[in-house]
Amino acid sequence: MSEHRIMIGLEVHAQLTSLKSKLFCSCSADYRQLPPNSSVCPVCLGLPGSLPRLNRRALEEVLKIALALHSQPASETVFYRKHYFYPDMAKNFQISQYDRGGGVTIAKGGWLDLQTGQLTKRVRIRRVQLEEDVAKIVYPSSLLSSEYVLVDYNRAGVALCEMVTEPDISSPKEARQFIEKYASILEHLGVTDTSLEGSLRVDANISIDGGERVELKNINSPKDVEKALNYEVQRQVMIVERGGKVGMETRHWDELNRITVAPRFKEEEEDYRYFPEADLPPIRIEASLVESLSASLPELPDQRAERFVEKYGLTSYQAGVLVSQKRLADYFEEMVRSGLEASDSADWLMNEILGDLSDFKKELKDLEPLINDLVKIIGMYEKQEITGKIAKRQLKQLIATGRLPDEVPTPMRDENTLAALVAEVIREHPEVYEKSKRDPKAMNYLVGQVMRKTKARADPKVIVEILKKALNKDSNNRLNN
Amino acid sequence: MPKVDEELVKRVAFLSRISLKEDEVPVFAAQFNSILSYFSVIASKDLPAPSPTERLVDIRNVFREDKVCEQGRDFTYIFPNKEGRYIKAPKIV
Amino acid sequence: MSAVSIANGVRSGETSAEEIVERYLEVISRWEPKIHAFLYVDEKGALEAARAVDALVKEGRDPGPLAGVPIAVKDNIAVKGMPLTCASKILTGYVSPYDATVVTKLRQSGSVIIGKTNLDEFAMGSSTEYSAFGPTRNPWNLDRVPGGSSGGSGAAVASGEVPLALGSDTGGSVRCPASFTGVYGLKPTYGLVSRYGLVAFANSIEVIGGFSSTAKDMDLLFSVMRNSAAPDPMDQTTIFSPPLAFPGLKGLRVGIIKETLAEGVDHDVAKVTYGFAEALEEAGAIVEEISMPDLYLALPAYSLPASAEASSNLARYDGIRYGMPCPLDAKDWNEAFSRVRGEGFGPEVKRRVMMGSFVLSSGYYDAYYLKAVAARTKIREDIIRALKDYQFLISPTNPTTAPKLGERTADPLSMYLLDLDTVPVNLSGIPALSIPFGRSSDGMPIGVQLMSSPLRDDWVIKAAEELEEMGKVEMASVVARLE
Repeated sequence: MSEHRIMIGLEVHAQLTSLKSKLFCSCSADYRQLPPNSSVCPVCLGLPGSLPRLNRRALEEVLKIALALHSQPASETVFYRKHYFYPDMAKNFQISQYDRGGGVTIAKGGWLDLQTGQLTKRVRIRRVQLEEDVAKIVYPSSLLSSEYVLVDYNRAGVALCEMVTEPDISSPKEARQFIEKYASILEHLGVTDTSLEGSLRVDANISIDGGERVELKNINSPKDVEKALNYEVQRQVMIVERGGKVGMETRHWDELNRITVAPRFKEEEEDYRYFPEADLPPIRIEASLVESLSASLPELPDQRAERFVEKYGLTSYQAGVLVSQKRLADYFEEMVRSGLEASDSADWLMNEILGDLSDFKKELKDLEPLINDLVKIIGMYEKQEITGKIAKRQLKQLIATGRLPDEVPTPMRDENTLAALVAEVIREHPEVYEKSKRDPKAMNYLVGQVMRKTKARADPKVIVEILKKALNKDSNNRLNN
Repeated sequence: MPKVDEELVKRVAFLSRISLKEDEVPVFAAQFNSILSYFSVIASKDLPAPSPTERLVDIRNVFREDKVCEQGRDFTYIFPNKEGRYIKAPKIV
Repeated sequence: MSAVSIANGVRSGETSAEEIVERYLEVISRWEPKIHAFLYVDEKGALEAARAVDALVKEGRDPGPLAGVPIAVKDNIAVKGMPLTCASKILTGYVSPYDATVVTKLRQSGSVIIGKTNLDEFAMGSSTEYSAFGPTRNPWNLDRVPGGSSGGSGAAVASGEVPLALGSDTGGSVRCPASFTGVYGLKPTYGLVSRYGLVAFANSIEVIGGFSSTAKDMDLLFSVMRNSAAPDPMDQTTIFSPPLAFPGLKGLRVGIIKETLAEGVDHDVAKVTYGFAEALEEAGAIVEEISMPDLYLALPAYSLPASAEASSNLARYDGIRYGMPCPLDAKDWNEAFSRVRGEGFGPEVKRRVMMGSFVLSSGYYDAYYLKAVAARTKIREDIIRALKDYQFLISPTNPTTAPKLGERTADPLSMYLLDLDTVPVNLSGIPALSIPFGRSSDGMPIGVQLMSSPLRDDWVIKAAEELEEMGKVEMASVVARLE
């Protein structure tokens, strides 16, 4: 793959989940738990005679996103109608924006830097704009066999920010990094809770070796971005290496089968027939608004990472991982505020807790109600009231069940008890004991055996001390003999 | 100025999602041609390109505050085809 | 009876609103078989509303400035609980779940909404012959059209079925029927009256307008319709402007537009228009001929963008959310949508929607749509500039009197030409009043158009009042003349 020059551009739609109401009407935008078609009104249903009414905060949220991406806000911007017919479109046109023929989107230009080790890769932003979301289509059986579809307009009209990049991304991995970083920026700005289903959707344009562009749609989970792009790049590489040419087309990401497919029917090339939306007056973006939003921008991931390095002495790697998800960085800071050691907390989060969450199929946000208990456990470990192994086990249980186990097994440190157990283990494994004089791995094995006998309650440091003493005594005895 | 032929009428009918009977197509083609030729006067007129911000009322920045209203009204009774609270629509493919 | 006298009578307790409404319902039952102005009459609801008004008066509470006045609403304006058909099959079965802002204001003013009037389908037409439910006939001559697209409202007021009616005006759709049926028709300044609840056809230029049989009635109606204290929050394109005092006709400059009196205009229409100019001079105004050589651009400048907007505003009619059901047995959704729209839309609507898609489509967008919008801007600039030199502009409302039914339906272009004098007004957003000023030699009404600068709606109404008081407007009860 590395011999081929890959060019990827991304088009990312982020729901502005911070808004209470929809973009053009005052229906609730918090639609996910509601019965179908219960958060609707004449406007988002497109009833005859209805008119859109622009939500002030939506403009402000998109301006914040633009500022975070160093994108230049326009002085005047308008909405356009984008026409196509589909059952999820209440008016069969979407109120969106356009950057051609005199049209100006809310912001254009800008960049987002990706850090890999010492290298910085800059991805340029083309434009940032505001538009309305469409309804949800539900298939009673599968996509192919359903005789009809069911439509729910609860989501129709929710505010979306569309952000388009230049084709500066050079690999599927880089695309994943980009999406992660953008998601973290959105989280830090407080405009999108990216853990919500459907809150972040990605379309991509990919070409290799300067060939035709393939548009890839329907990557509905940001986690799938790298996989989808990998598949598509491989597909194009195979065509090219066989001497063929990649055709310009639109393909869809098939989540179920993990492949990209050309749509089953020939999509007529859509003519969107853009023209200005006369039901909404143009917007003049005042410099004073931009200034006040700029001044009150919250701390963004890059700044936060720098602060973590300076203030808490973390490595840039640790800081980078923590700020890649806002909640992770938040938990870190809470742990440190509660008195836990910084680098330790970072390691616990990165090396244990993230893995546990994944193992038990939990999400980062599920940790929120458990923070106090989490701090307690690690606190006890730091104060040596429990062993590391116990702490790990406790964390797993906390994450799996949401509760602390009732009994906290205290560490076994009593020298006499442990000495007896060590003697037992030495009797059971004499060859290993011999080896342990020279081989640290053999020593670890013996420690492990004692731990087993104590169900991990023994403090390994004490065991090691006892073993070392025994070994010294032995060698002294030999010397003396 | 293009001559509107039946091919173009069929394409435009699809773009508009309006099904036409075969005998309607030539009628519309003839009508379009007559209408467009009357209107071709503007094609030759030299005029500056319009701005997308032009409106009959010269206002800017009209906003609604981000508040939730209109909750609890049920509109499902107007749906022509439904299943439970869902709207039933034709299959996509 | 005039609306003013009804309201005065009801408010003072002299007359009962219920009696008034009963009387008008009786007129409706007599005229409807002849003219078919209404698509829906809500007898029960009207009488209930009337009784409620009477109850308020009895309690000593203020029933509103239009107390007890029956009013008809064009069936492309949303009235909650009443069907909203837009005279189209595609909205069969649809009952509006909400009131247009203007309708809310009317209810609050104490007026009684009698029912919904006939129109050209989706307001596209100048004769009401394009209604899917049959045409409306002109009360003055049942073989003639009442004009359009708000023909039902015009005929309802002209025949005495109601004293007031609402219509919509996109290219002349209030003024044309007013002229053809011999009543007043007001097209307000764009933005002064909320469009929330008006089914969109060409949303960048259309407005809700009103019909009345006297100028004072129009004044009363308009005072209720307009945004009275602030812009309507439901329509972000509206403004608030307080009523502007009218200084009187004396000394004002009036421009009579030469190009609207050129060839193609009926001899009688021209005669009545010159008579109007004379009446203004008698009142002390200074009338001069003004030439607007680019006016011939107005019809294409109106028609192409209006069609484009129509193709956009009517895209939503697909039988999914309301109206005539979308078939579920089609091969796919494209076929399903095409079928329901093919069956549900009439020929004129199909023509305009397709024309609109055509001019917006890539390859034709620059040559047609953009050019037409540029021409639209030019017309607007010309009109606004002329209104800096003249306080009023005048012209005939239409080049002819009401055609016979069927006369122009075979040739759509001939129908569009009826709008020649009215469309420049819509393109510039200015207010205009069609004043019933005379009759043709064969007895058909002729309206003249009085135009002024944006926000001077009160001027055109008050100027008409002044002429009425001078005895210059051929009034006497329209209905009496017909009985």
